[in-house]
Amino acid sequence: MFRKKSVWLYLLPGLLGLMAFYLVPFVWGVWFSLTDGTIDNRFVGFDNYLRVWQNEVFQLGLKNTIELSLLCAPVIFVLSFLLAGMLRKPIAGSTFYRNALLMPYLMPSAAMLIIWLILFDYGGPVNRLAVALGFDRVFWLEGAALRVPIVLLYIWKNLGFSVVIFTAALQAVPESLYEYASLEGAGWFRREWSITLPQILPTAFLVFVLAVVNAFKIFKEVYFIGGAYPAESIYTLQHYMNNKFSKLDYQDVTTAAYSFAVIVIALFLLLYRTKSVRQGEAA
Amino acid sequence: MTRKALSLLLALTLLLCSLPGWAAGMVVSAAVGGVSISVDDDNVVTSATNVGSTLYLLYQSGAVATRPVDTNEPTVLGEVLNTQYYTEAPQTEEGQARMDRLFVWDGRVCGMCTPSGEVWTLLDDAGAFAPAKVEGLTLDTSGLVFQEEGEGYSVAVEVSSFFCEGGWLYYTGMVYSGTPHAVAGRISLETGEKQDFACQNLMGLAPVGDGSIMAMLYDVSALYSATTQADLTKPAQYGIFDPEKDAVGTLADIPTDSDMGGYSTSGICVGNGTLYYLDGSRIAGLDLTGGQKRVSAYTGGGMVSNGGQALYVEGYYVLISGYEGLRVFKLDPEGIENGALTIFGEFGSNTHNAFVRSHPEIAVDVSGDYTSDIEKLTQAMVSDTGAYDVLLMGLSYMPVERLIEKGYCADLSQSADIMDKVSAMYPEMVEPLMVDGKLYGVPVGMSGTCYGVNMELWKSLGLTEDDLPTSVPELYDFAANWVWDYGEDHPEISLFDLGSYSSQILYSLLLNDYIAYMQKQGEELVFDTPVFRRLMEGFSAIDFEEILSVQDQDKDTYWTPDALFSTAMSVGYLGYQDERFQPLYLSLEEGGEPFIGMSLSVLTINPRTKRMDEALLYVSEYLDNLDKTSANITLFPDHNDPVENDSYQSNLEDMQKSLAKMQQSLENASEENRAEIEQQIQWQEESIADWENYRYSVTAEQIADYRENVAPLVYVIRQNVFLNADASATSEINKLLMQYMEGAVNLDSLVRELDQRVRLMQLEDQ
Repeated sequence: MFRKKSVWLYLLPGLLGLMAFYLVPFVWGVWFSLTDGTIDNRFVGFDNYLRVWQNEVFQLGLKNTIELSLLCAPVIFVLSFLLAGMLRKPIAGSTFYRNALLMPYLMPSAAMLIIWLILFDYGGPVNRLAVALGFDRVFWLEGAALRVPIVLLYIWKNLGFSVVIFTAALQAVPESLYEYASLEGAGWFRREWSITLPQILPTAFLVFVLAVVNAFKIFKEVYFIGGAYPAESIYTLQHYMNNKFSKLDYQDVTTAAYSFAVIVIALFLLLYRTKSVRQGEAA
Repeated sequence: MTRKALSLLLALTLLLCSLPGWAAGMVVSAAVGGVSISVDDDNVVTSATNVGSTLYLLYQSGAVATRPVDTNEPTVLGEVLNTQYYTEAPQTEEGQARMDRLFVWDGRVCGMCTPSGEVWTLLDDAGAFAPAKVEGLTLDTSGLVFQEEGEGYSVAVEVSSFFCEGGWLYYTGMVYSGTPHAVAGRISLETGEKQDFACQNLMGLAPVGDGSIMAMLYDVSALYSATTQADLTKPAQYGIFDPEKDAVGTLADIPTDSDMGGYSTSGICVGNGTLYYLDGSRIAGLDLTGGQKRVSAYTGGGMVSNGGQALYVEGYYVLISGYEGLRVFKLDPEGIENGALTIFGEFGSNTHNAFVRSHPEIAVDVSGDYTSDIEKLTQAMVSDTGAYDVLLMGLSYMPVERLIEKGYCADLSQSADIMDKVSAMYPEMVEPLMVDGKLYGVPVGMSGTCYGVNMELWKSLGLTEDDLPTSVPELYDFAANWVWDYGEDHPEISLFDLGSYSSQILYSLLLNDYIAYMQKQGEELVFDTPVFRRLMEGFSAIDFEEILSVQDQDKDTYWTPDALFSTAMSVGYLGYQDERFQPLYLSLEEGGEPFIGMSLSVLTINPRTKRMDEALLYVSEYLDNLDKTSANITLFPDHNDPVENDSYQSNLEDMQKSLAKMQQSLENASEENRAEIEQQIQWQEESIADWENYRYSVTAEQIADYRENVAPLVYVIRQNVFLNADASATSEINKLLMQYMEGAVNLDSLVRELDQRVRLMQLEDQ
């Protein structure tokens, strides 16, 4: 009994911090999204939600955010899985390659962006390569074409972290299972699909969820290159929220944020259910 | 009459004619020895001292008056020659008292003449005004007059402290000649000897009352020298000064609310165990025992203090500073802890000061913040302490409409008085502040610029009025061809008035004018229009470097004396017109209608203010005291009376008095002086006749010209998406435009990118 009570004592500072910096703002934010934002802050029900959801720019931002996430997350997932599989084998320099993959994740975004800006500049190496291959030069850093460097940057930056997670998970898969499968005549794809994936399903789920959630936060790189009002093709939901915040439209910010949170939770539940079903089948 | 008398007469004439015009006010007159002396209510006091609660005042005119500290009822005692601005002793008649600094010495009110070192007592034993020179005493006042080495002139020190203590006259001040620096010292009233203090950074001294002396230290050298490393944001410090050791004891910080640290601290005095000082626009009291700081009074002035000398007089803070002269504040009055009517955006204009002066019973404070950030504004308006009560904002660059939308502006329709005044304004000035028939702000000023042309130079090029450009694109075309057409043959003429800054100014005008143009058309802001394309093509064709290269003018010179075009002729300030240029009202497209985009200043009231009545009174009286030469005319279509020059009447009277004296002296003049006096009379009569030309600072003709030619072109610029957007968004727009100017993008890319951004900004706000 005494130990249990003392546990609460140790947890108290952290819990207070959690309440003060997460729970209270969360609840307060919900209240904000239900008021009109005037000096008297009158309750208006779901008017804000109706207005924001009908806003063309909010819809654009939401669409772009989901598109980018659905584009980036599977690519990250598949690439990191394949790379982790390759690095699982005891090849020379595997540690070096693993560290090299992780390096972009540790680098400051601003430094990486400078490299990207040089690479994709109108006169940069990418365009010069394109010209050498017989293609026209492209304004990669403007307009709709900005999606390409943004997606590539995101993948390059976040790939290493997923590789590290997958590598750790793959270490736990018994080698004997692969030997049995090989003896049974299973090819590479069959082995990975029937042995590896079921064995590392929780980790794969984690990696996929992280990839999706991180993709939702792709704003920072876009803002650095494209500014507060970039091309429509990469105008994300965070742009909408960021711009609204600077205009003191806290109601719209919280409305958009909670709307998005609901979508993310729904997606998470869907993925979780898929994972559970798959786990059940595997069992 | 002797030459000496003639010189005296001329000197007096010059002195009287150089006096500044004062606002009309209560006048107290006294006749002394047949000569009429008057002190206006707003007359400038240049020195003061006190005996008990009685103030003794020396006016710039030389009048000496006395008044109780708690009532503004001066009684003139007599007249002396005020030697404040003299660096050498002036010639006076035998026995005429001359002085510029008052002080109390062993209970006697005295005056010191800085140029001569004389000391005069002012009152006899019965207390009557009877100036008498203290014989056998000449003070070494060289510490109060600064002479630059090798220069033939000297300048008076700007004195910040002056008082008598223990048989010494103590002073501190600043010398602004050469490298500005602080000076401090004392003069013995026994021997007349001067002692300069070597203690560094003594910016103020004040008697504590027990024989000791309080000092204020602040290192201001970094303001005037690039080599010193003084931190100007540090607070000033105080401590007891030992004049024998020439050192200050234990130092402590003088707390300040200002971001400018000790620079805003001045005017120290000690009384009631408290160190009082000016902290920006407030008078602070620092308890010398406990160290707590409080606000003891509000001056109502701007945040940057003008400083000056201060006296503690039985619960009052007496301040003598600059052109404001004497101001008296009751310290720690009842209710001071409740704060003051806080005005945001005011710098201490005449309009604001008129309210402060006419309502000493209302504590008024100006906030030291001039942010345009909407978040900071709204937070300041709902704050529990120091919340803004009244806000002065610019409609074109501050989020006024958003504040109205969010309910941060009180409905002023509740005041019939304000509504009555506003109804007399041009409706288009008021319309931006009306929502659903309610008024949420009042216009109090308007400003804008237009182009101008130097017609003299224009004609010297062989051009006529018909050749003048009528649109901005035509102006750009003229500029693009300038070098080939005229520039190479006329290097003495600068094309634009702002030298190497012309391109930035023109570019900024282009964007602002185009936005105003689209607003005026009632259309949404888009850049893919023939008008904008034409403007950008015309602007990008101008080679500013080439233009500067053919001009004689130094490229680094900001102001160009012989410029053909002005890019920023002020519109709306009728009292000031740059006579070199004729206004050029241009349309934005060829064959279009010209217009002048004007920025409106507005006053709003915080709906959460706890001082609604005072705030409404402030707004109402603000409208009554608008600048007579600008807002009072440009906002009200029926205010057409010419504006007389404030100093006209007083200067005319002085000139007429001088003429009368000359004519009187002519009657008694000898034959040899007659011709000279007659010549002077003639000159004086011509001056009086000529003075009539300066009677009005704004004439009826100027007002009529404004009504006919300018007022119909005025367009009040409303807020736009750029103002509502994040600062980084507007910098992106500027970046795009600069990329176009540098040739990195073509015009099609530019308008596409601009429109896409603007479209997003507009859609976000829906």
